[in-house]
Order: sequence, then C-alpha cells, then structure tokens
Amino acid sequence: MRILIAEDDFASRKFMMRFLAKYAEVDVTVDGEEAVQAFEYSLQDNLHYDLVCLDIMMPKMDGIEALTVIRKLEEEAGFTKGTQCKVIMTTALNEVDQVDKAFSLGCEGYAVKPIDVNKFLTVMQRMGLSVDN
Amino acid sequence: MKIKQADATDPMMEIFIEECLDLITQYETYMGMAEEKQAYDMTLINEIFRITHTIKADATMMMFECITVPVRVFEKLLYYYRDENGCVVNYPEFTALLRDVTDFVRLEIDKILDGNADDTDGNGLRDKIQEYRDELASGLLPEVVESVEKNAKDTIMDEPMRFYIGSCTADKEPDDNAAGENAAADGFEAGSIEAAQAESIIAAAKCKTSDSTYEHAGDSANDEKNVYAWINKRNTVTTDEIKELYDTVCALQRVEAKLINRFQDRFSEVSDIIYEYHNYVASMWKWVGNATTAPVSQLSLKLHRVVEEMNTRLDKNVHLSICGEDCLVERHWLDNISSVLIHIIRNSIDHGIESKEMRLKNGKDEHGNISVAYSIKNDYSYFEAVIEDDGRGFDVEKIREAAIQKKLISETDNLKEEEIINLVFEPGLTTSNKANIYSGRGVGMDAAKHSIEELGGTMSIFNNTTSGTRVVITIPFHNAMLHEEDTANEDIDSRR
Repeated sequence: MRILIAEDDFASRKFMMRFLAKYAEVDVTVDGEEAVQAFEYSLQDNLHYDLVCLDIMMPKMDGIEALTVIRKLEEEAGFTKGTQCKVIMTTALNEVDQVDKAFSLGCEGYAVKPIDVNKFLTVMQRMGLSVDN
Repeated sequence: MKIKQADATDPMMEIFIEECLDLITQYETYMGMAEEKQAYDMTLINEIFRITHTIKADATMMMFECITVPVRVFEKLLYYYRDENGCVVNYPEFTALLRDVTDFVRLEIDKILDGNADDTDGNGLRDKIQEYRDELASGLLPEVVESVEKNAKDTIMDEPMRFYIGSCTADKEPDDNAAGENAAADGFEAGSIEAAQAESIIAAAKCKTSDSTYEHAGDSANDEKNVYAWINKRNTVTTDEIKELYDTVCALQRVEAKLINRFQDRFSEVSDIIYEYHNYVASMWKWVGNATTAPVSQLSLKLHRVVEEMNTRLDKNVHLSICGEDCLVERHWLDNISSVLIHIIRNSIDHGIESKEMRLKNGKDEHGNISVAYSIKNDYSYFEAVIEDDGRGFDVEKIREAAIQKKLISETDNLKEEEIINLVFEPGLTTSNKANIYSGRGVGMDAAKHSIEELGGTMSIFNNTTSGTRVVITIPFHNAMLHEEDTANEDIDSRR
C-alpha cells in the first residue's frame, strides 16, 4: 500500500508518518504544491497512491485545492470513481461548512486533530485498505 | 469498541444529534398519520424509507455503529414493502418495530452524549428486525426474495464514502503550558514537538487505555506501587504531599518528552513502551488532577479570545469583564466550565446582544456588556459563576410557543417565567429561525447543562430585572481538604 501525506506542521507530519509506516510505504510532503507534485510523479511512474492524507491549512496550496487538483489528475489519467485513491483530510478545523465542502469535492474521510488513531484505522479498513498488522 | 464521550463542542456532532432527533420526530409524525387509517400506504413507506436511509448515512459518516447496524437492517426490511412485491405492511407489527427503532435511537443518542454508548448496543434490535424480515421472506416466493435482496444491495453500492473522524481529546490532558515551559527550561527543544506530538500520542494512548490501568500499575515496579498506595489514601494526604506528587508527575511528563525526542528516528521500535509509560503517567495525572486545584483565571484568555472572534465575525462590539478570577476550583472542572462559558458567551453575543442601532434606540450604550463573576460560597462548600449580559433577554412568549410546539408543555400548563426560561435546556428547543454556525441549534444548552451536572453542579437561567439574561452555575466542592489550601496553592501557582 502506498500513502501520501501532506502536512505543514513538523510534529503532526512525523506522527502521521510513524503511525502509518507500519502499514504502508509513506511519502511525506510539506504543502499542497509538493503533494500535487508527488502525486503527479506517482501517476507517471505508475505507482498510484492508495491513500492521501491532506492537511487543510498549508502554505502555497491548501488541502482543499490540492484535493481538487488530485481528483482532476486522476480523471485525466483515466481513473474512474472506483479506482481513485482514497483521501482523508487531516486538520484541526471542524466547522460544518468546511467538512461539507471537503466531502463534496471528493474526499472520503475527514479527521479532526488530534487524530483518533483507532477510528482512523477503522476507517481505513472500511475503505478497503489493509491494516492487518 | 466503546464510543468515547461525545465532544459537546464538536459542530458536526451537534448537527448529527439535531438531525437525528429531527428525523426520529418525522418517523413519529408518519406513525401518527398511519394510525388514522390503521395502515401504511406507499407514500408513507417511501417517506419512512427516506428517513431511514438518511439516518443510516449520517450514522455511518459519524461512525456510530450502534445506530448504523440496526438502521441498516431496518432499511433492508423496507425494501420488501417498497418494491410492491405483494408485501403488505402488517400495521400493528410494523408500528411496533418502528417504535422500537425510534425509542432505540433516542436512547442511544443519550448514551452517546453521556459517553456510555458501545458499538454493539444496536445488535439486539438488529437481530429482532432480522428475525422479522426472515419471517416475512419465508412467506414469499424465493425469486421475489432474491430480487428484493439484489435490489437492496445494488443501491447501497452507489453511495459515496464519507467518514467523519472526530478529534480524540483526552479528557485529562496534561497542562501543556507547565510541562512545555519546564521542558524548555531544561534545554529541551521545541514546544511544538512536545505539544502536538504528545497530544497525538496521548490520544493514541488514551484510546488504548481502559479504565483499569490503575490495576495494572499495581503489578509493576515497587516505586509505582508505593505511589499508588499513597494516592489511594488521598483523603488523608496533606496538600504538601500532593504538591510533591504534582511536581513529580510533571517531571515524569518531561521524561516522556525527552524519550520521544531521543528515539524519534527509531520510534516504531519503542513506541509500545512509550505508550505504556504514557498510560501510567496519564493515569497518575488523572489522580493528581483530581486532587489539586487551579485558579479560574486560566480560562480568561480563552474567553476574551472568543469575544474578540465573535465581535469580528458578527460586527458587534461586546465588552467582557471578569472578576473573581483568583477563585480556586478543582482542576478537572476547568474543561467543563470553559466549554460551557464559551457556549454561553457565544449565545449571548449571537442572540442576546442587539445590534448597535437597536441598542442606541433602546437607550443602551452602543457596545454590549457581558460580565462573568466567580465566587466561592459558604466557606468552600460551593463554587459559583454568574454570567450576565445586558442584551435583549429571553423572549418568554417565544420560548413558551416553541415548547408547546415541541410538545414539552401544553397550552394549559401554568408555568412561572423562571420555569419557562429554563426550558431552553431541553434538547432541540430553539426559537432561532436559522441555526447558524455559532448557536441557534438548540443542542448546545442542554449539553452545557449536562456538562455541569456531570460535576455534580447546577445551571439555571434568568431574565435580568433590568435587561439581558443571567446564567448561574454552581458546583459543589467534595473535598474537605480544600479548606486549608489557600496558602499551599499559592506555591503551586508560582511554579506554573
């Protein structure tokens, strides 16, 4: 399994990486721009990510924008709904409008920090990502 | 998996609860309509299906298996009636089942709010509905059953996945400030690593922690055994010893932070040990937190910030004044008091304080005023917080009407003004026409009252004699020890 993380806060980034490294190959980026770049490379190399975790508040390009771009890239590369990667927004914001917006733009999960690790893993399972370690 | 205490301030949670209760009320309306004809026609069935589908989707998103499980099965049952495969609805049996569902969801929501809900709570109801469906299916042709089941499955596949993972807030978090500052003083770098990282690890550990860590601790090293035995006799422990303990627990937290930092490159190798270590420290902190006090001044900054934020967003100019900040309360009360005060203040600025023009028109000064007054009463028998604003006060008639509409009281009930105003604590009662982000959902007040009652306290609302509203919160002190604590706690204060 391949996971892409986009998170501008060092500590959160490290934590997500360590926690997910048990289950997958994890790539870490520090803002939306890098994340989109990494995603593009992955498509070029034919190493599609299974899961993308996007922080919302990030410099250069925020998570919502990055989500839109990533979905666009997938569409153009011919990935249909069923084969697209799963996206979970990981953020401190929990305002309802924000959550609704994110879902309507195509993410499957919205996790509010500090992340409830157990629930996160449950959601990954429900999304069909294997976390059987 | 046990469902943790619902975060009363999580807006998604508020919306979920409100929507769910609203949907349940709709069920009841349709049951009323069916009662007249003693039958469920296709329109009613379709409506009931729509409601069921929505509850299922919402509960799935919020990850409340306790509700999703039985509702999902109920939805599948409804497919039999929808597809006009000759399935006539048996009025009394179906009504009984539907009533079971509504009662269950109402109860379960209460449990969720209390933090007592468990994923498996809905299994009994699920089995009951499943049995009914099996009975129903047994009287039908197998092809019919197959087609209905297939149909049900197909539509379910089309739904977009949506999962909302609420934050994992540990309820007795270590005081970030104290631990952080002390760590920095020790030359330990970066409060940011400590705060966020510690938070996440704490969250993870909390999720792994059962309430029996105390028992486990008894099995470990002698030192810890002694500490626990010591804590166990806390009713007779003096405040000096508690201070010592408090400092020691803070030191242990610093050690934890150092460990995390030292092993950050090989974290996975030691993470389980660190989690274990953290569990014990968190458990001790819980005890220490319960036995020490803190001044309510700790909340003031937050309250002022909320006022600033609301002022900016709503273009109002409300002044907040706080007095009695030196009052010492039990440390673990702070979170509850904080979230309740924030809610009251938000409500006040949103609904209570009128616009500048209105105020000037009514001869009030342009800016609004909110005052928070803390006091200790009756020689440490209880703590009181009084929050007053000089806004428009409660519209008693509106509340009465809304309450009558929600069937909380009847037209003929003769209630005093005070009693009517306190009805705002009923869940779902809101007289605001459009719920906005900050308030008006009718859920916050009852959660707030609940939050205070959890501490053994009470919360009441009054209309001020001049104008505006007054909220009074009282929380009793349990600990006889606190009487001697004034001087002792000055020292703790100076160390923070």
